[in-house]
Formats: sequence, structure tokens, C-alpha cells
Amino acid sequence: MEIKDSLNRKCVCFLTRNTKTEAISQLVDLLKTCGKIDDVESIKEKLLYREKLMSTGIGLGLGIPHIRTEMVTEPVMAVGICKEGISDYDSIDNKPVWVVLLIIAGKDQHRQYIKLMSQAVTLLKEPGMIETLKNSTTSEEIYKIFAG
Amino acid sequence: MSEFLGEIISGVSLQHLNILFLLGLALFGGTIGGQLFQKLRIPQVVGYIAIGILIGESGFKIVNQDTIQALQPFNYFALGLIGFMVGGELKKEVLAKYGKQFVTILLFEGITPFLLVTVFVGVIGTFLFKDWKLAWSLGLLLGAIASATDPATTTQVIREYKTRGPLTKILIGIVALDDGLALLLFVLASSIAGSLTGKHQMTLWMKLLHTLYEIGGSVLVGVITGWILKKIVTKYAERGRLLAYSIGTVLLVTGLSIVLKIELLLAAMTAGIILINSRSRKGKILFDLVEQFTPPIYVLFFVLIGAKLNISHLSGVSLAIVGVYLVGTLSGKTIGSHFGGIISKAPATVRKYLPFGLFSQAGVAIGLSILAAQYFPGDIGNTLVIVITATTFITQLIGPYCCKVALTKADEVGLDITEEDIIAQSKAKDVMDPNIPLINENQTLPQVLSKFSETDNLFYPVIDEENRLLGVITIENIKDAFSSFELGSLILAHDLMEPVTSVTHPETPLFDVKEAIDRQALEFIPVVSEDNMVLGIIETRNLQRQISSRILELRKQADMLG
Repeated sequence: MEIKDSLNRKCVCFLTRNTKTEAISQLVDLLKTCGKIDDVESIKEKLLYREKLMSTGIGLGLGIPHIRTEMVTEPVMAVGICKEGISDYDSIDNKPVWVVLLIIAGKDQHRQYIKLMSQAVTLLKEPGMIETLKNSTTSEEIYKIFAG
Repeated sequence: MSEFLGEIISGVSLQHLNILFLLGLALFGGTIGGQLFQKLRIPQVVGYIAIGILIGESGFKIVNQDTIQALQPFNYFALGLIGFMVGGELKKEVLAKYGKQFVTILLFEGITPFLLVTVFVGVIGTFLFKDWKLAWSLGLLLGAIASATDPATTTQVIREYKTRGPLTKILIGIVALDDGLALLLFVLASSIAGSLTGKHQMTLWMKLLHTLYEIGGSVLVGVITGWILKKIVTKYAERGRLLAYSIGTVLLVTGLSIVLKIELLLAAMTAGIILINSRSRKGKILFDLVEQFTPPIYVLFFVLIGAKLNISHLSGVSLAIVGVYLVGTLSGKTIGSHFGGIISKAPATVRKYLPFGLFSQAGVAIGLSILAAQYFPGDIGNTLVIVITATTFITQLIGPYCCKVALTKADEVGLDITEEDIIAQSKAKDVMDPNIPLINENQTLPQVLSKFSETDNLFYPVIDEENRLLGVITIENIKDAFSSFELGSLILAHDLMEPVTSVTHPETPLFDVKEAIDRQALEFIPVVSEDNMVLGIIETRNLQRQISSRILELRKQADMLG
């Protein structure tokens, strides 16, 4: 299971809002538009509950909201770039988040879930990666970075 | 309509109740009686017999002599099963360990009541009957019968109270063997009585030869059928088939014993001994299967015993003989088994409490009294039958209780517990691990891994802030996360946990818990309170280990008794 198998090029966007809740909400709506999920409200609720437990802002301008749910059968991802930076993300380094990578996996897709997160963290922690993504001008450009 | 109902009701009377209905009534009533007596801490078997007395000849006469006669084959079958199960207790190791004690105690506990009852009845009967020949003949015959102990009630008490230890082993050995001794003493007694009364039908040697045929024939039939069953069971594993062959064998042994006029208890017991001492482990499985089949048979058997007892013809003289017989038997059993125990160096609990386990008399005693009545028709025969019926009535009511007291005092009660018993007696709270490490849903992967490394559990309940169960993390869940340590605080217990498919509560019977575990092939089941707070967890692998170690612990306790 690679990132490219779970990320549809249509599920990449530039975020128009700069709060954590709105950013997550926009990415969930995008997944709905792409036909990847149905119950938008329930998924938003679960993602925000997870954020309440502990923020997924892992520093370096990166946020990876994620859940497992019976509402999907295959892992799905969405990427959003916020040029202004999300300052209320509550990252561990207290810095704004520029790149938000949303991962939703099936209830029993434990292994794929961990693997996708691991791959994403390895990729995004490459030196200069966040800067490259921040400076991207099209969603296709962003997609190619993730899809390899 | 009313005409139709009237016709139906007018056609119904106690005499018209069919056998199946009566069997149902006996089984239902007997079981209820057993439960009532159990609540009074009296062995259930007394309850079965009491219900029998209530519905039988001495009570409401719902079950009459004709019905009892019609059900006689059923009684034989029950006796066959009892003999077979007693044989199943006599393993080589038991015979080797307790063999000497069996024989010594048997001789003393059998011969002492024989002598005491003979002398007591002989002396007092001489005054009562004004005929010393009649009195001493009656004394000899009653003395011989006094040596027999009822294996049915004794084994039933042992079974009900799950006893294990030296007293249990010796009791089983004695009740298994003393019928043989009673037969020999009866032959001797009836020969002397025949000489005294001038009613010689057979010479002593002929009678001894006859007894030898009965005992030898029984052993031979038992050996052959036991050997055949042993050969059969090695070929099959299917439980239903094994049970059918076993019951078939018991029926064959019983039927053959009746046809050949040999001792059916001894024959069935020998078959049981042969089977339990075969090398195949299936012997034990087979006895467990038959044991599960026996409860309704035993209930009916004891209800019918009670129904058969008729003491309405008891006269003053007979009543006096009943008293003398009881004193002689009980004191004879007490003195004999005590000295037998001392001489054979039996453990202290055996010497002290064995006599109380030997008070019951039934089938063999009644059988011998009927035989004696045929040999000695008239005063001796009639008195003998009424005395044995009355004393059986009394000993069947007090014998099981005394037996229970003896086994309780010897600390052997509850030591022969099986896996099924433990499951039936326990609740979820008895077997759960209450010290299970709990993981909060917001604990990070490194914190979860550190918890896993501290304990050897395979399943960790995940809880919310209020300790309510949310899910569980298994070793399987965490395996993939080991190689992804870089994810650090990005992964929480919340992300790793699995939903819980089944929970149980502390008061849930373990039987239901086990059933849920087996049905859903669960590896664990969390125990939660009504408001879903985690109280513990039951891991299937630990549950099995816990039950086995409890059984081993009880067996060790029993072995330490002697």
C-alpha cells in the first residue's frame, strides 16, 4: 500500500480557511465531492474528537489528522496546503501548520493505516519538503510530490 | 362439549395413568424432592426416596405394585449402570494402594454385623418367639443380610458431594465388594438355618457351588463384555457412538446376568474395572459420557425404591426385631470397620468416619430377604421380608445423611471437581484478572509500548477519562507500530484500539461466559460494570490454565489426605 494508491489527484487542494476545524472540514468535504465518503458529519465529528484527545500537529508545519472507521472500505487521503498557515492547530512546536494530510482508513485496516502514516511522515520530514509544498502553485504539482 | 369433557374426565383415574406419565411424574417429583432436601443440606437421594415413599405403597399409592413390577427391567438397568460406574472408580493404582485395606476392612465390617445381628436376634428372638430354632435361624439370615451395604445410595452421595480422598476410595471399594461377602455369608447362614429348621433343600456344598457359579459367572461375563467394549472404543472417537456402545454394553451385561442368574452388580462392575484399566484414555472419556447420561435414571431408580417400600404390615414383634437388627447392624458396621481400619493401618479419617458411610442397605438386602422367604416360607420368611423392608426404609433415610457427614468430616467434600463443575459453580468475577493494566485513549504510542513491555498480558482495555471501556489493544495491533517509532505522539491508543465485540459482567455465570467465548471464538472478554467501567478481563488462555490449576490444587489436597 503506497500513498498514491489512496490519494486521488482530485483530493488535493489549497485551503481557503485558516483554522484547524475549517481546514479539516474542507478536506472532508473534498473527499465527499470525490465520492470517497458519504457521512461527512460523522467523519468530521470523529476527526475533531481525535484532535481533542491530542493534536496531530507533529511540528515542522505539518498536521496529519487521521481516524479509522467502518465508513470506508479502503484507506483514503486528502491533502490541503494553507498558504497563510493554521495558527490554532496546537502543534507540538507551537508553530503554524502549512500542510494538512488527512488519512481515513477502514476499521480493520490497521496495518495499511500505520504504513500510510509512516510513509507520509518520512516523506514530509525530508529537508525542504514543506517549503516546496508551500511554494507549489497547482494542486497537480502537490499531487505529484505525494504520488512520487 | 360438556358431554365430551365429562366422558374424558370420567375415564381418568389414578389406576389409568400410563407408565410414561408415571415415569414423568416420578422424575419431576423426585427431582423437586431432591432439590428440597439439598436445601436442607440432606443428600438429594433421600429426597428421591422420600418422594417415592409418598407416591408409592406406603403413601398415596399413585404408583402401585403392578407398575413397580412392570418397571423392574428399568431397575435392573439402573443397577447395571451403578455397578459399571463403581467399576470405573477401581483403577489399578487404587486397587494396588488400597487393596489390602479393602479386604481387611471388608472382612471386619461384614463379619462383625453378621455375628452381632445373629446373636442379638437369636437371644432376643428366643424370648419373643419362644422358639430358639426359629429365632437363631432368623438371626443367622438377618446377620448375613446385615453385612451388605447399598452401593447405589453411597455412590450417589459421593457423586453429589464431589468427594475425593482415602475415605471415598475405601467406601467405593467396600460397597463394591461386600455384596459378594454377603452372598457367601447368606449361603452359610441358610445352610445352618436349614439344618436347624429341618428345611434342607440343598446341601452346603451345593449352595457354595451355586455361589461360586454366581460370583465366577459374574466376573466372567464382566470380563468378556468389558474386553469387547474396550476393543470397540479404541476404534471410535465420536462421542454419541461411544455412549451408545457403553449403554448397550451395560444393557447386555444386565440382561445376560438375569438370564444366567448371576450377580448383575458384580458383572457390570467387572466390566467397568476392565474398561477403566485399559491403556486407552478413551475409558475415562467413556465413563464421563455415561455419567452425564445417568442422573434421570438414578432419580427414577431411587423414587421407585421408595415407592416399593411397604411397612404397613409391621407388628409389635417385627418392630422389636427391626430395633434389634438396626442396633446389631449399626454397631457391627461401626466396630468392624473401625478395627478393620486399625489392623490395615488405614488413615485416621477412614478409621473414624468409615462406619457412618456404611449404614445404607437396599437392593441386595431386599433381594436376599426375598430369596430367604422362598427357602423358608412361613414365620421366618415373612418376618425376614418385613424386617428388611422396614430397616431398608430407615437406613435409606438416615444412611445417605450419615455418609455425607462422614465425608464432610473427613474433609473430602468438593475435592473431586471437574472442569464442568468449576465452570458451573463460578462467575465471571471469580476468574477475571482484576489487575489488568488499563490504557487511556489519549496515551501515545511510546507510552502504550512501555505498558506492553511491563506486563505479559496479550490484551489491554482502552478506557476514556471516566474509566469506561472504549476498545482493546492487542499484541497484533501493536506489532505493526513497533517499526513505526518515528510516528511517536502522532499515534494514540485511540488510533490503535479495536472495538470490543463482546463484554460480560462480574455476576454472569462462567458457563455463559465460556459459551460466548466458544461460540464467538473469542481470545478474551472484558468484564465491565453496568455503566461499562472496566473491572477486569478474562483471557481464554488464562481461563483454561486457571481451571486446570484449581483442579490440580484440589487433587493435591485429596492426595495429601492419605
